[in-house]
Amino acid sequence: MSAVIQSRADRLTRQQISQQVLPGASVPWITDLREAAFSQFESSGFPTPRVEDWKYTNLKALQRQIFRFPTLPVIKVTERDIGPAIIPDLEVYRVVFVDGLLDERLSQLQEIQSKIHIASLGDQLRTNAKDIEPHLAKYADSGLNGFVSLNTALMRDGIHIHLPKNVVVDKPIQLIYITTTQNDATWFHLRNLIIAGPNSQASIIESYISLSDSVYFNNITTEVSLAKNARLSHYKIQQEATQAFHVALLKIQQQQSSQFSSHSLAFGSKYSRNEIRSELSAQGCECVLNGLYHAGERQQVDTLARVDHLAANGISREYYKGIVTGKAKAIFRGISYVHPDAQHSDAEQKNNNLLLSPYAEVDTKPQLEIYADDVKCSHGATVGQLDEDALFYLRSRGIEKETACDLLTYSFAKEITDRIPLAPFARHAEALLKNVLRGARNLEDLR
Amino acid sequence: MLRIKNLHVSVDNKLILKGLTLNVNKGEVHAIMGPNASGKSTLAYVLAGHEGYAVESGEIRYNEHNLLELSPEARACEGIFLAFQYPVEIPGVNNVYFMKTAVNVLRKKRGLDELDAVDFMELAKEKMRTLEMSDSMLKRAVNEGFSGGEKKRNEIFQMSLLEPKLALLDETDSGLDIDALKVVARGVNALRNKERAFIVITHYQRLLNYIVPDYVHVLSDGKIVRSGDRNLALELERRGYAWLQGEQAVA
Repeated sequence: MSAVIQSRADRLTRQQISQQVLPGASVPWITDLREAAFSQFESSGFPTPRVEDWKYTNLKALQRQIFRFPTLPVIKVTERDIGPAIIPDLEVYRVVFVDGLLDERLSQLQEIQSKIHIASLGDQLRTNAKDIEPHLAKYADSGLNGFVSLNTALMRDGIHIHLPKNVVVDKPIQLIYITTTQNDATWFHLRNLIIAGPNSQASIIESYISLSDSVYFNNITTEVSLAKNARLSHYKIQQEATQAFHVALLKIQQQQSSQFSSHSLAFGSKYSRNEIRSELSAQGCECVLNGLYHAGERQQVDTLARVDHLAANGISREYYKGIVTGKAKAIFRGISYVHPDAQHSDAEQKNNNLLLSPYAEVDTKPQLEIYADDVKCSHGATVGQLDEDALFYLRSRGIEKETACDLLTYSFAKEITDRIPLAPFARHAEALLKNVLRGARNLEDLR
Repeated sequence: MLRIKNLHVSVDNKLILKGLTLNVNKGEVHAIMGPNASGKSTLAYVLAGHEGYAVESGEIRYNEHNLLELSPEARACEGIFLAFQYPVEIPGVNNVYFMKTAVNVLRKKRGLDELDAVDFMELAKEKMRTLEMSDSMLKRAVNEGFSGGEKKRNEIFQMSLLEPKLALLDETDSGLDIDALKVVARGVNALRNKERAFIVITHYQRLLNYIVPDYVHVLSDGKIVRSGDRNLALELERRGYAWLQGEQAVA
């Protein structure tokens, strides 16, 4: 059992970390990796607004917070507790993490283990580290920012999936991360590693839910590697509790003609950051990033989506929409980077925001950097309000103002959910969005 | 039913209606004609409750209500319907969903049971047949990608579903070819009865060949300068508006 240690991130010491029982402690390359990552964290700390990728982000509340390392879950999570993450009419292979640790009782690992390699990353680090040595921390650079450094130094569990060559997984794999902690301010450093072999295909869903109303911090790093012709669809629903911090990096490396898509919904938490970075490392890759965020009250929702075209004939799409109300703040930064060898790249980027309150804020920065001369690239960003004429049109038919606003807001967002190929997931997303809109309105009424 | 008295209305601080008075009783069809920029559409928007139109003075009584105190949705519930000159496109909102919501809001207000999806579709399809509309329009987003004629038909379709007490048709004839005009007029005439009143706003007398009005009013520079029966419309067709504008200047 680890000692209970509380610390602000910037006052964390090696000695405190050494008292934690972290998996892989007897494996030299893992301890070296953790040591090096912690040194990086010590010198960089959390990102500041001086760093371009974090310019509009306010991390003060996170920096001031004293966090403690997790103890074993106190609450025994039941099937009912994970209900909010269940997607109607969708059969999945389910894997559940409770307070940062895999819960075998609620998971269906055996069903799928005959087809692919899937294991707790903690177990993998403890018992079979050599299999992941060529991959772990090879795609997500520990020095990228303080969150990744800290994650690498302190990672405890997560999922490891390895899809063998030519395997097509018949159902989506759903990873449900549920937080139950009732203690003050616990942090969890989750690490996922997904390796897709040549010609393999799978869909992976990450769902974040909570039974907690206390402060906690999920710091997640997910590394994905797609071999030649592999296809991976990644879905994410973030519905963390109102006091939660959620910082996630999804780093993808794509080999020749591989296809990656991300469909992400960010609705919950006090502060969330979704950072997706994909490298199209070889010819003919495709990367589609599609996302929707909603922030109300004093929420802050932060998105960074970057695609690096490193080789020719790559296609990338970034479609993000946001709804911001109350005193919330949304930040979007999109980057399409076309490197000199990436001729015939096709990159498109769109970010549209609906600003529903005079106190809300949106900072959006779409960006193209192009160093090849034969490419097709476009970008655009908008921040707007509901169309007054459309609102009047609906009201003139007897529809109440609030309902009309919701209807227009919903129709604004529907462009994103319409792009989700997994129909039950799209329907679930739409139902969640309706709830979020209704909830936000009720809160506005009370103000 | 409708009593408008000495109405002054401004848009963006510019006075558009300058003392308009008009009475409409149930069952009557009133045509409002007039040159461009005389305030015809302003009258329609004010009656429907658009917040961009500021009532400076005057009053509007509608049945037992002070109309100016009611929100646009409350006016719709009281039976006022505006067929827009430029119906708004609303991508992402399905036509069926939109109209079913609107119909049920009104039915609830009138103490009727809400229609379920099956009953609504039956009703909608019946109304669409009268207007020679294809069922596919129901499945599309509200007015999105509709041609000018389809949009106008969709307005009359909505009107026939919502069964208003006072219908305002704002240049419903503009952008319609003669065949579409006849279909739309037939849809309107099918709704005429002893209880329902219409205010038909138009530039041209052509529409009034098909929707025959009880009264014709000429609006010029924010006021009604002449009222008469349908012969007035015919005279306008012959002589234009200039002689009335001149008359006003002399007066």
